[in-house]
Amino acid sequence: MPREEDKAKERILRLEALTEVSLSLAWERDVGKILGLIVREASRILDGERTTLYLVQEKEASNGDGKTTKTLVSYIAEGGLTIEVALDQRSIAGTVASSCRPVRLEDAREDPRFDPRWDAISGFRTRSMVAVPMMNPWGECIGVIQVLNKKNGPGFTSEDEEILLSLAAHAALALENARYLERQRQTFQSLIRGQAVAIDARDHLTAGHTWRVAAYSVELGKAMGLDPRQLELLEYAALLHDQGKLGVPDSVLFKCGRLEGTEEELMRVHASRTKEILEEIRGLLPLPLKKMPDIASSHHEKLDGSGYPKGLGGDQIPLEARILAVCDIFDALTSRRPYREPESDEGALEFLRKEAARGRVDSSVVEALSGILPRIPGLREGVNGRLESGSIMGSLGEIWETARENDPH
Amino acid sequence: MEKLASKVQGLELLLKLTLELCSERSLEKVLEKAWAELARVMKAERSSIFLLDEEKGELFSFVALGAQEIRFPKEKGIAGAALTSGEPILVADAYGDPRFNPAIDSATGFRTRSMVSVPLKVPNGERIGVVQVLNRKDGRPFGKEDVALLQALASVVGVALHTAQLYREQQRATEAVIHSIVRAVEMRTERGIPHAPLVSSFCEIIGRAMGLGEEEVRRIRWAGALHDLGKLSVPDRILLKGEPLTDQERPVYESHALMSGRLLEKMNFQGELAGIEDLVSFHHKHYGGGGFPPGGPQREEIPLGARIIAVSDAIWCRMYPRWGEKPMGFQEALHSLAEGMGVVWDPKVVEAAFQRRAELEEALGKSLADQGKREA
Repeated sequence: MPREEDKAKERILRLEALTEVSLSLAWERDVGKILGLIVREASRILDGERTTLYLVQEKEASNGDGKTTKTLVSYIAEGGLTIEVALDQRSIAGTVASSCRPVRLEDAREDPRFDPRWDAISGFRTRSMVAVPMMNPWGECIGVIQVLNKKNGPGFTSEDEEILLSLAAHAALALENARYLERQRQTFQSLIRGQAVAIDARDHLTAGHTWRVAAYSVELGKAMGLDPRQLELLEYAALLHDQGKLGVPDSVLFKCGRLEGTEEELMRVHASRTKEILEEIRGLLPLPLKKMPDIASSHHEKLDGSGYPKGLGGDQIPLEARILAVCDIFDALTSRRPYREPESDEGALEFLRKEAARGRVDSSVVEALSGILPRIPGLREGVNGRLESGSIMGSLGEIWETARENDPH
Repeated sequence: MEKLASKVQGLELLLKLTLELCSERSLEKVLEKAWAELARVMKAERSSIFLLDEEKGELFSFVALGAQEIRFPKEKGIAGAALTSGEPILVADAYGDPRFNPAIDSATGFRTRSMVSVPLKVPNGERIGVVQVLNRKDGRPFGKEDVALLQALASVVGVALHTAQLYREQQRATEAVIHSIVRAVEMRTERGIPHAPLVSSFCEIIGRAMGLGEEEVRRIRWAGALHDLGKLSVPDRILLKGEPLTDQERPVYESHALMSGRLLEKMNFQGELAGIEDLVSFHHKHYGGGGFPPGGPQREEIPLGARIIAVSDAIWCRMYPRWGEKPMGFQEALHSLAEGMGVVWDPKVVEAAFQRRAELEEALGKSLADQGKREA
């Protein structure tokens, strides 16, 4: 009886450890950290010397027919080597992944599927082994966890195998969830970055403006000590700051030559449109991004209250918007227009210093800009290179010009 | 020994619950499952889940989990006390506790006797809401073991809910940017009636009716919203002409579908939006092979999303014709599609639209009401 009780107590201890780990796994959002957690906890809970994790990866076939094949790639094999094996019976991990069944061996070296080269390279001496499939909730095997050398005993027990299977299921779910969240993030980021292409397509004379302003703003924000969350917010706001252009009528957008007396008025229309639209989406934005509409739509506000659309002044204008305002003016001045040559970076900085002296833009932002001025050409070329390599403007401009040529005035 | 066995059972149950709750990706489904499991495991007559709305400083219940949403200030009642203190609260006789808020009982017709309230804490210390179980089924008041068990369950529920909230936040942020793009583009063409947002809603309804999965429906809905993006390169004098186009003007106008596709391709979307240009490029392609662009895919080779956008778009365009044709009512517009079934439209899509006509009409009404509010 006491033996059974000891067994039950031991089982409880392990289940408690597993429960704790399952929560840590479910909470972790970072794929890399999840992988680290799995390897560490598998060794600890099973009392093994070492754990290797394999992930199923899709690979495009080398003959280039676009078909993909699945292989197993070791994510962590201590000793820093990466092992790649096929999903078939020739290796132990391959057997586990292709059959979706665990394998437990007292002496792995006696198994014909064991490849002794890995021990030879890593200097590790494998004895016992238990390897289980990582099954996701949809019944697919997405990896293999392999624990080596039971510390206090001849080999791993069936209880070890059962616990490891459970850990593997939690690990698979955590991995799938982190990948899913990453996919949602990617969707959002690619959308907000990509929508700048539409702005360029509407007004291709200022092509790349949005991306350059975003790049300058983030660099400037970093120099001013903004934290990663603020930088993200700043980047997104910068990417949206000219979205209102999408809705500005042709007569305003394509007014030839320098905008004169009515310039202010026309730009006000654009700014208030941007504001109107962005305010509609505030309700849908998560808490950390709630300020995005305000920042994006206040980039024409001036510190002395002479700006628009609201005529805000001083502290009413968020720091991110003041950074955005400086970068917006800077890029406009240093870009070519049909009616003038681009200003030099130094010349644009001089202009901004005068604006700061007049109390219109934030002088601390302008000074920070002078600090990063040497890095501006690199950022500019980065964006312009992306524009050309994707020949975004080339092909858009072409379609667009055709549309206009065909247009009987 | 018996105690040990029940301890093992409890832990195994927690592990199973973690897998079940965390494998759901919609917040509603996590809530529904958690709600049912809490009452079952705790052997309670009822359970409640209140989530924290940080912006408004309120706790709220989810509509799906009861007749209507219940909202109250986050400090109020026993739930509020549990959230504020971060500690569980065991109440043997609810009506004898001054913190108890009987308003919820009167709204639901339930009579609370004993209850346990536990804050939903996640590992970073954040409190995202409160769970409660009401009235033990055996009639006895809840005890200390019940509190411990509910705390254990709450740690799982909290993580699962937090994860689902993150997915939802990201999706809504994507939704927000799509909405702002579409609204901006439509500012030029708008004649009081939003076009793309409604086409987008139609796409969603039809996609669901056709039994497509969550993610596929989302993709088609987003593609439906962005389907006319290419119009930003059509000059105002053509776009806003309001009478039939000349032979020279027509191809310029018609280029917008292809242009939408080209633009979306250049935007280089990733994740769920990757490849939506294929759904957009062919939304004016006829099922039988006609339409524009000429050539290209036909019938089932046309992406299903494009066939769904085509039908959704057509209903709208017949209700609000662009070039001076006589406008149709919703029912008339829908019935007029019967003629082109199999030639212009995918019959399966039109059938799905017929089947869900009440829902489509409701979406139309809602969109018009929203527009009314905006104009006011």
